[in-house]
Amino acid sequence: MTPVIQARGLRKTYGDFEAVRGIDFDVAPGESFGLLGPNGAGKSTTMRMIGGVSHRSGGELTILGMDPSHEGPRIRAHLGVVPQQDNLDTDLSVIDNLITYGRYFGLPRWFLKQKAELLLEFAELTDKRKSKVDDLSGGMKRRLTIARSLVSDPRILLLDEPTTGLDPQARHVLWDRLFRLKEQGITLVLTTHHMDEAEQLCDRLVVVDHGKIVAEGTPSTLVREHAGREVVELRFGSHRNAALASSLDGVGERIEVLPDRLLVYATDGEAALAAVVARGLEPTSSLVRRCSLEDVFLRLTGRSLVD
Amino acid sequence: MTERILSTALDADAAARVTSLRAPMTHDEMAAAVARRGSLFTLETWLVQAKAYVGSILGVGLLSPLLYLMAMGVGLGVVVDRASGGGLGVPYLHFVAPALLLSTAMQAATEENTFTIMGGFKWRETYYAPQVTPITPEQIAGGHVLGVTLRYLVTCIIYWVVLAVFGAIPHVVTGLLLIPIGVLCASSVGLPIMAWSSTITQDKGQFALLGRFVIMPMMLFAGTYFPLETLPIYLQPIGWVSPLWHAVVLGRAVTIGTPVPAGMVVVHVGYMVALCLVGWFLARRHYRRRLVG
Amino acid sequence: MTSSATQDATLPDAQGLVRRPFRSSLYSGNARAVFDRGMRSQWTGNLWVMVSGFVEPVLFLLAMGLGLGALIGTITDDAGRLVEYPVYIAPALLATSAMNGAVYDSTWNVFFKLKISKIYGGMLNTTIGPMDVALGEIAVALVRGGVYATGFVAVMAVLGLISSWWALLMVPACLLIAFGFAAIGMAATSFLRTFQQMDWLSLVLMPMFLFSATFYPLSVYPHAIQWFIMALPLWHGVELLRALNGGWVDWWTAGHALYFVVLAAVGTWAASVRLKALFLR
Repeated sequence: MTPVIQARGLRKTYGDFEAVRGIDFDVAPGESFGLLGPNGAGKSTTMRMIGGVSHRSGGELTILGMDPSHEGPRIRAHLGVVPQQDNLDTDLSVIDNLITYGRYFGLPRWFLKQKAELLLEFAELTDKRKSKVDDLSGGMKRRLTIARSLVSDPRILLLDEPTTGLDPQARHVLWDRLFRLKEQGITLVLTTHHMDEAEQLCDRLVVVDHGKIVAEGTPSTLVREHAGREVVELRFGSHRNAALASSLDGVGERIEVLPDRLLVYATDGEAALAAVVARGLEPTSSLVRRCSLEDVFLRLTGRSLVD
Repeated sequence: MTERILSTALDADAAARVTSLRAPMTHDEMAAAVARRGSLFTLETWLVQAKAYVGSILGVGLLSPLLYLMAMGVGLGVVVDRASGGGLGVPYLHFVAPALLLSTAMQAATEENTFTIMGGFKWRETYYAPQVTPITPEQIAGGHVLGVTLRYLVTCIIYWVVLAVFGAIPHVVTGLLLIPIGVLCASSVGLPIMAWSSTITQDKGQFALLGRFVIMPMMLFAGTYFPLETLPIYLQPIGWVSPLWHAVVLGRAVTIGTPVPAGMVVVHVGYMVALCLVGWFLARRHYRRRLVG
Repeated sequence: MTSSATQDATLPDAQGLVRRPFRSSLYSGNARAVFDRGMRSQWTGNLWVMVSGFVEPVLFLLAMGLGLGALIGTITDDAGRLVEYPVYIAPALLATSAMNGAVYDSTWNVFFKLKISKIYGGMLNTTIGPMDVALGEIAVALVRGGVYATGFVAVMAVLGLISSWWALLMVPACLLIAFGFAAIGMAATSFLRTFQQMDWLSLVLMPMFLFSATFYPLSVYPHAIQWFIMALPLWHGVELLRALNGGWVDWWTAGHALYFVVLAAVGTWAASVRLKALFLR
């Protein structure tokens, strides 16, 4: 299938600062594609280039076969964009936000009135239709922003950090909503620095760090290839962790030393923990868990995702 | 939490319903419609937002001409007419009336093109929603210009009617031209201010300085309350650069018949039109630079 | 929150405060802290903006004094004295500027801190009481007003519009005028709910500016209107400064000053009571 988005050697510089330093990726129609990385990795810049509101400094980028530097408005007619910060119009009511936004796509009013009702239902905001935006909770605003982006039947939905800053309950509701959209065949492109979000929503993702792609694959292959199966988290107290790491030689496949804990990667976590105890070491706390994208990122960059 | 997730499962079809109601046009048709009429779509948003202010725009718009007419036209007129012994050739009320309307138009232009622009880019960020739609930065600027022009027009018409009712416009028929002159004057002030405001990223009191050092002198030294020629010659250039003075000269020509040579009419109109064009050109450029990085 | 409870342990005059519960819940004698904060935030901003505030009345004086003055020449004021037109309007412009500055500081500024940045809420969680806030904020407005007034009086002197030593008293008189307007403005602001309502303020200030014998004497009006204007504060401010500027000081002058003393007292009390009602429930 022809990819809907194709990037080759994509670069963006601001003066001396290189925000994006030559990245390649393809997004297939109907897939859910994620850019995972810490703050400042260049994810939002990439999203802005896809939307044509930021011009690339080098490389190739095509969206639905068009060049965003020349055909920004035409490309944006096909896109739904959910920015990192909700930029809803606080002067207007909930429903007026949907209708005025739809007018930016040249859609007729009679259609927007019907569509807005369905979108309110979808965002569970029907009883808030006449409310002012300021009276909505953070989760409601986010749902309204997503509903707004759907007003023009977009083929591709760009979501920049869709659930950052929301409480766990609100995040689950949003994930449910986005998953249903994917089921309807909409291509999702999202950035996130939450590994749980990437695991929930992405078919495939690239891990971005300092403007470069450091790994690519499905969440499960990334974990398998770069982290392993299980990990033991050991805490000996912050001043002893580093010193004790050397006495763990031979336990598990790999050991990472963090300021607050030691991570022992192993195929069998329980067995590794037993081996630690057998050496007479007594951690103040220990935890055996499955490896996650967090471990992938740590392995690839030596840093954690959320600082 | 469980409860909550269950409740979202109740309307599992909502997403399907949203996607099944298709837009009556293709995405390319949307892009084409916006390319043609995008500024009108952003004007619509401006109008919806303005609804909240209609009351105060109309209220202040009606009371302000009444009060100024009474105070500066009638009240001050008694003193000036007595003292100058008809030196102006017409009653002071007739002399000052067009200037009052035009000053108000200029004031409205200043109000509409300072904090509002800054708000669009910064505080309320209303420009960043259309930014990611097929609307172009030029069309965002265009919607604002159309909206404020409409406001100038409404303000000028209300003011004109009040002036006419109080007999402050002797030549009523040609006096109607005072309304387009007012709109032109406001635009020639508003567009350059808009261009300038759209470059401001942080409010450090620039707008207060603009008001004190640019707008206010251009208002007071523009032959509004007295003929420009009564000022010392070194102060008169402030009037010459002020669009308000050019508008006031034209305004008096149409309302009280003060003669203006045809060549000077061209100069006065040309000066204001030139300011509009330069302001519009720069505003478009700044909007694009700021909204497309 | 009760401020008296928190003060007991810390302030030497805690006993006095406890004995006078009215004073303790309204005033902690620490308006200074509010004033210091206000000065810090105001004078670390753009100094140009601050200092250039006195330019507005100067521009009015130059334009109207020179331009209109050329048309009008001399004018007979309400007391029957013949004065040059610039001398007639200068004190009026000064009084208006004192009013505008004080009202701006006590409405927009206070509204912002009350509703948007919620600074007062934070202050009142400490030992500071509502009257400290009111007095502290007014004091900040007065410092600014004093700077502007001094600048304007200096300009008047340079232009030769001053003929009496009494004119030096215009600066403190301006502070009194500003105090009165600031106090009333603050009390009024506590009733406002939205920014839009603030628009209507200009509908009070603008006519006062236009009609209070600023540009021409009251005698052009019918008697009923004259009495109405004479009840409004700005007219008293204008007449107070006009008398000082010309050195025509009499019992009327004292009366105008008294008007503002009463206005300031009533306004400060009302502002404190309103702040208390808003925050200390």
